[in-house]
Amino acid sequence: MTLTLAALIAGILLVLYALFNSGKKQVMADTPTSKVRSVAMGFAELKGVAKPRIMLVSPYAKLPCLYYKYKVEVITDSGRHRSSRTVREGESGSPFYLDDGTGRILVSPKGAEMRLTDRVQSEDPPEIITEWSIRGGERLYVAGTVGKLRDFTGADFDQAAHYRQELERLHGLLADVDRKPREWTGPQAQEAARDRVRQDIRQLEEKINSFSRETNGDLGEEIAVGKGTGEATFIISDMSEEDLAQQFSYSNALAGAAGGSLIIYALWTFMQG
Amino acid sequence: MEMLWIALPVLAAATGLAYIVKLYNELVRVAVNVEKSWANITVLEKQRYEEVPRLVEICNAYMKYERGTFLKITQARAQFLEATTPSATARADRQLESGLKTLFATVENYPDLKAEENFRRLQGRITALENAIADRREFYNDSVAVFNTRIGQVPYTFIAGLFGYSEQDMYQVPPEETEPVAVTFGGGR
Repeated sequence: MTLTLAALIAGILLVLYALFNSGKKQVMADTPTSKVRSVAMGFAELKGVAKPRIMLVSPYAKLPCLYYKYKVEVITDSGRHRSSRTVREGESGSPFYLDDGTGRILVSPKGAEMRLTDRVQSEDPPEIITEWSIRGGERLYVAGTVGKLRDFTGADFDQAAHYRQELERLHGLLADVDRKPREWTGPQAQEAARDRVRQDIRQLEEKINSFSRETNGDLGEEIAVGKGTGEATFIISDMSEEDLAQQFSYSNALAGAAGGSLIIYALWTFMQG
Repeated sequence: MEMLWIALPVLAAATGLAYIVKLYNELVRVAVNVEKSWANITVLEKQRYEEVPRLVEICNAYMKYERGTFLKITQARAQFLEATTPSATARADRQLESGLKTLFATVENYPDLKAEENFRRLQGRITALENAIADRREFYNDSVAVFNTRIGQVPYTFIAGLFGYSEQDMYQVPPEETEPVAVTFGGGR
């Protein structure tokens, strides 16, 4: 009885998931692609190339990128049974540009459904680290709400704060170089590492100065694409619209068929008795 | 067991109703997209018409003998302000666009005006607005194409007929604007 009820609930949830996803696919199909130079406020679909506002470095693979997302899972292997548990996950929130040849617009990635194929996986037992990223020059599909950056929930429009955070990180790194002399093969290697971090700090300080001159440290008034309050769909993907729609179709068909089968099984079992 | 025989048809009816609601909501969304994309063109057209009096004022100071062109432009603006239907708006737009084209071509003969900072700024702004209007017309036609396709497809066509949705007109470029431009090479004796 409990198993049948569980099957019924799981079936209903799967069907609902398929319906919700088919809604997203329909929204994509119903929305023509806008050009950046003439995009109107509200929900829009844009296609273009990712361009940096500032360069980030992904935390594990150390890749230069514009956006990253990571997940750290711990694998427990009891001989017969192998399972994984997510222990840490996170993503960057810094906006980047999307350029479609007619103009460029900021993209605030907070709250986006990321469908990325650019993925790096590494194993550091018992941990498995998966990292997704968007790199400069990658072609992107973005469907979201166009508005002012400060209107988006969780948007990282205080770029100056982001720079300060990055500066703190670099100072921490410099302190680490001094604190752990054993990690270096000799005083020369340690000095070279110290020089590299100092150079990064100098470059970042220059960037902060020029950024403050250009924008008074505030990006909030800039037009951007983000997660709107009244619109559920906000997708960023490095796949083409066609591939993305196909991916949605496959997962919908799978979820719908599995959900339907579970519901039929549960109802059949109930009827049997 | 008996409860199930009652529950099954109710479940089937609820699923059917939910499906019809889903189809109807999808039609509403594409219809609203068409309306919104038309309204978004009008917003930019208004901005363009607001720049016209300033442009005419600057040009008037330099181009004393181009009254015909100015008249065409100001008449188009008056027509736009009075227009209440999309076709009347489109007529005014065509007249303005043709007037502006003539004006910007004639400016070549007035180097002082061409060098004037305010004129260059206005010309740049109007050209940018025209590009954006052209993009939004294209977007409007895409939205209409999605809508017209949808209401012609089964099962949407039944719902569309039930709720009185009918095909929408696309923004048409007049035939004279699609004809090749006649270029006359000067320098003859």
